[in-house]
Amino acid sequence: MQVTIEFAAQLKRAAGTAAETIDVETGCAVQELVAEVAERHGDPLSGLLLGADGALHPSILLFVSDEQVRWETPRALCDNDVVTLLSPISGG
Amino acid sequence: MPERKPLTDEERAVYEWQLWVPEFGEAGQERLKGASVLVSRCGGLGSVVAYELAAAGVGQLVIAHAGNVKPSDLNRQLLMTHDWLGKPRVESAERRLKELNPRLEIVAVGENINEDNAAAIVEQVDLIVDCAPLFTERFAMNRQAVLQGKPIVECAMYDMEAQLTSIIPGETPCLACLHPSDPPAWKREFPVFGAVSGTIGCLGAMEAIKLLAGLGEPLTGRMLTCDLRDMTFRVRSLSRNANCPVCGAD
Repeated sequence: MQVTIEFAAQLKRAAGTAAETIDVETGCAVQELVAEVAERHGDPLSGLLLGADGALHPSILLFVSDEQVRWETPRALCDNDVVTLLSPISGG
Repeated sequence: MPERKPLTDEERAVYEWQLWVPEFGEAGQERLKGASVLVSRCGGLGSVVAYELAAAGVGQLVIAHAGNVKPSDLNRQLLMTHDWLGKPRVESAERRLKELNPRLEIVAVGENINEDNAAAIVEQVDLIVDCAPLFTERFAMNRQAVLQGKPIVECAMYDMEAQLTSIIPGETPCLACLHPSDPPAWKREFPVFGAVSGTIGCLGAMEAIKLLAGLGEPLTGRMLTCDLRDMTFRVRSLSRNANCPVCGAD
């Protein structure tokens, strides 16, 4: 099945793209997808996304189809899901 | 919700066009007049938030911003003017806001929000609009807002993107639910146009007006994300963190 992963703000710069479509196996969890994307891109994206323990950095917001997903709660993806990663931004 | 303050005939004339807005009317305008709002800081976002709230007839603005006007402020900080370069930002902001609305009461604080001053400043207001660039000052405001039960409108931007959400302590995720620690990648200075800060500043001011007047559906528990490169606007749902060290949902 196919899912789309979107990157916002600094993550978009680090990934070099706003979004990419990826083939994943049925039942793939969003946590597995993020780890796979981080590994494939390497740094700087990987360093922005994941901590030393391999978990998503707590300040990154993760969404599946516009609904926030907490990293500690496994979430299986469905065909055509859109996964969004938002990095924290501020005023100025 | 703030206490209502009766309008004068002059105020009815000034705010006539917004008094016609359904569900707002004179009762909504009286709530704005009775309201006090903290805008921290008055930079690209906060200048526009403060200007729109002044125009809308909010009774009192507490504006907090340290430092003097620099040339690099002038592409977006619309309350700062060329003739005020090298002079305190908060004075420039106060002067411009008073030119627009001489009825407005302003408490000008020449400091940024920090752990030492946050409690006393937040105590003075009904609502906070967070336009600050550093997470340390945003966390200090968030902690006090949760302790004192004050709503916060969170405005943020980067490049041509923006995020906006409204926090009601005890009901919605707080800032620490979303970002529990200082993000290591965030830098104090970043690329942005004034038109981006102006856009999200207007949206943030509208959220504040809605919360103060009990109007419409604020972005509580939801986040608006905008990408002005392709004009994508989306609203996403947020969840509280049961283990949040600030609002501790459980």
